[in-house]
Amino acid sequence: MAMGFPEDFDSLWDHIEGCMEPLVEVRETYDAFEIYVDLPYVKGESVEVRFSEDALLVMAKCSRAIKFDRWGFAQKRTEYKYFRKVIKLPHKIDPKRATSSFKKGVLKIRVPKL
Amino acid sequence: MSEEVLEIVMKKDVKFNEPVAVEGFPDVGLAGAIASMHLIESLGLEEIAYIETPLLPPIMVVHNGELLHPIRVYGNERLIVFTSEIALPLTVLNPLVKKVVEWLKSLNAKLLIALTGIPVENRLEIERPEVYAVVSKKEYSEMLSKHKIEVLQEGFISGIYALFLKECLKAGLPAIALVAQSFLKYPDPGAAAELLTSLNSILSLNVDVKPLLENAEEIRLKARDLLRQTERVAPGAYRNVEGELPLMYR
Repeated sequence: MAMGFPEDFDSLWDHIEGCMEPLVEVRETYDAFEIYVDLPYVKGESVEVRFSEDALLVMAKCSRAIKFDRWGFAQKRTEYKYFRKVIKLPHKIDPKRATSSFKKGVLKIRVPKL
Repeated sequence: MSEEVLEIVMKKDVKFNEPVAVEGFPDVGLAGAIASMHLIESLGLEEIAYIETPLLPPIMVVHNGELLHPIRVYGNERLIVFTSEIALPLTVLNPLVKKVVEWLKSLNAKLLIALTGIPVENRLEIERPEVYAVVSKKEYSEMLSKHKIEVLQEGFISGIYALFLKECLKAGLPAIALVAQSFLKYPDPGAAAELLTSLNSILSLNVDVKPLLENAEEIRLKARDLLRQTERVAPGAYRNVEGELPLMYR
């Protein structure tokens, strides 16, 4: 378990909670991590990031509920409204010096290592 | 496992006339897969065949209530498009590519064009991804320069398009790979749009790429599962070699 955050489960879709897991890319440099989170249907102001000593929790509300009326058995009754992802990092980080930007639906977070 | 366990099963009787084949199997950023599916939809191509093999996991697809195989072939007498809705395990790649090239030769196909992406770290800063080409024979470079597409002169290539070029070279089937700058970890409709713009130029098609850009968010959302599958069954690591310098560089 990442410090303080419950782990994500394997699917990109939580059909019960109406929550989606975003695709994530983590790049590591000698002194920092750059984390890119793909968040289609999200506006920058709807993104929330929380840090623990070695993990991030990214939460983002979609600009509209997403529904696939003809998909699957359970899925077609679900409205997907937000993204959520715990990103575990292999080193301790310094959240106080973290920076972020949001461009073309991709959240970029740079967080230095401790 | 034997290559004979993979076959192309025809669904329609098509009288091929020196067709051009386009493959957009899932790979980096799904640029080729997204492009091939948009190509099929835009041109209203019909499913003409599918791939049958026990090498794949037991997965079928349902669209509009119709049961379909995940790897399908669309087209008409002049154009054939290969696409897949599931990631292709490494063990399937060789037999699949060999069978497809063998089949295309038997149809007297005149050209194969592979559509794919190449991951670039600063993709987020790039408005319009560039498209490069790799050719199975140097002679095809001149044709591409007429379309203002730069041809790779030195370097490694890897992945399913490298296999297609290799098998086409062996079989004497002209082949070109179009490679768009792309995200590695996210579906990239922008890269797919640039691939189709180049394809439009080469094949004198008129595929409208605007829907790919206008519906980019929807495509990114719908393609997430395929991208994750692709990463899992054919890890992106083997594409890293493309950033390396070959020893015989001159």
